[in-house]
Amino acid sequence: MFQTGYILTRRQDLFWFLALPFLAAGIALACQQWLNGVALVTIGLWVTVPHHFAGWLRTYGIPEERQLWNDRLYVGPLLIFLACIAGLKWAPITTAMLVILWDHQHSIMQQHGFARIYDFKGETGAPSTGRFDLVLGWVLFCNMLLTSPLFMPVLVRELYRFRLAISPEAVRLIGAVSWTVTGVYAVIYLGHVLWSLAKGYRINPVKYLFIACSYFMWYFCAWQAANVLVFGVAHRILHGTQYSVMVYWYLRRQTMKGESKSRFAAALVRPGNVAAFVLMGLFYSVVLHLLSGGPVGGLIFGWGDFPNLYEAIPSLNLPSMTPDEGYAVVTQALLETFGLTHYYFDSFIWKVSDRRIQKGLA
Amino acid sequence: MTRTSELPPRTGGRILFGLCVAVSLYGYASGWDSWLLLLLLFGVPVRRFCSWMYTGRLNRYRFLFGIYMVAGVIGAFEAWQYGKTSEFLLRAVDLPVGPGAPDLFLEYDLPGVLFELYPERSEVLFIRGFQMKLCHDDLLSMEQHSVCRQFRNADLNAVRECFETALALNSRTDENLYYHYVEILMRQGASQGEVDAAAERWRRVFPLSERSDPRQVFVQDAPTDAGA
Repeated sequence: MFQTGYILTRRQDLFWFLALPFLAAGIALACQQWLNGVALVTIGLWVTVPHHFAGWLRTYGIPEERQLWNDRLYVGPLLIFLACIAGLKWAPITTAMLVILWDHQHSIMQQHGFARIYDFKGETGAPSTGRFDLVLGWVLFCNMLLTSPLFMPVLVRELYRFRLAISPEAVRLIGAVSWTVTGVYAVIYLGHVLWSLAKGYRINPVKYLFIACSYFMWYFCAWQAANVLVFGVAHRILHGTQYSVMVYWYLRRQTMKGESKSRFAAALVRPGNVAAFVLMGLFYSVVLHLLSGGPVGGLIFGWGDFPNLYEAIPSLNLPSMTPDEGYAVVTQALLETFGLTHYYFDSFIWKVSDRRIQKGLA
Repeated sequence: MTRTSELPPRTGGRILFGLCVAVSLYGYASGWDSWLLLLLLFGVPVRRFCSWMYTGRLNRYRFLFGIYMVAGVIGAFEAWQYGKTSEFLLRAVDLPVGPGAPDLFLEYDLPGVLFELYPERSEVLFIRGFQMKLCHDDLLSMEQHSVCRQFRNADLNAVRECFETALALNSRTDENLYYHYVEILMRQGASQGEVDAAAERWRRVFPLSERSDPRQVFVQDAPTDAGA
């Protein structure tokens, strides 16, 4: 009847997949209580952006898999980039909504993917279980978006920005319909589980625990805390960490088989080298943040700031230089140092009097 | 044998296309708008193209295609509504110029709707208070905008009360709330200590904000001795 199977190991799953949602919610509540609004940015930089790096590594890191996906890896990003530029120019609201909704879809699919791995590893579930799990994910997540006090005001506001003036009664009706659909589907889902058992298929209890823990965190943050900061921090920790863990173990298992030609990815994920994998992700995040002109304080919860280079001169009505302006000046100056090296090298590499140089000129 | 197998492939599509062309010709003769005629004429080819994207040689891009089809339709509507479509194009397809960005505070009563639904949300209390402030700032608004009539008896004290209730919820994500609270305190003639504490709280919660100190920005709004 029951057959347990784990994505990694029993102990690792207990931490990364079952306890992490509660830990993430706790950290998020602590951020709301004791930290400032920059916490969302900082968690994004320490967790979300490194998880993008893990995504790059997973996608492009193994040559054999790269060949499988072929042109999609090159044409896809180009199409997305062009569409975003066009979208930001002509339809910024739609583009922003696209990014947010695609992020939600991505979150649903990630948890669904982990649920599939649980069934795969446990050799559990009927052939139809995957579809029922997928619909469960969509129903639960959409219900959260359509009923929670965190997301519904945003949705109502966006509808108003399209001049679709939805009334409070209509919002309440949508909520009632959403809860009804969720309740009905929960019964159907339970029925399917019982049907699977009756047909002799085994079920993996860890998978159901995992689904329950994940949705508990999302619902708790969207309903109880109902705070953008809390939801954002908890969601970023859960999603980014679980993804990075999964990528690390997947690449490690793939590259340890000895058939892979991957060198860079293999070096980063080889046993005992987990620090290199983590540090590379963090390095990527810091470089990206600084290159895009992000404030230094964003990396450390806003506690540190760039030193004030020029004080205000009240007699001339000149304000002091802001930290961001100071940062821009220093980064510009650092780039100019490349110019200094150019001036320095040219002072001795072009000496026509040098016989070795003359050979290159003859 | 089923009914569909008696028809050669694509016959249904051709009949539909023929029907669309016939209706378009009738519409043209009757003076229908160009955008409607174009929609009728291109409806079938676009559907065929979508079908090809999902089954043809490029079907590996169907996920991206599906997302951008939906986003494209909504984005085109947004571009039209916000007046980002060229007038030449609009004239060519007989479409009116888009109505532009809505005023969610005075034209529509978004704060009122959200307040009815979520009266204990920090963001909602803030926009409710801000709407009150807008109506209060411009006495003409009271006459021009029906949404302002509900605030006839509201003053800056009511705005301050709204903001303070929102602040007590400790959302820490809406900078405008923290920033404009300083403004309200200054306009109310609150003590310098209160103003400084509010400004310091704004700076503490949003240390990376690029906005100027609200005490400098709203200095002209503070009541003077002469005006008091």
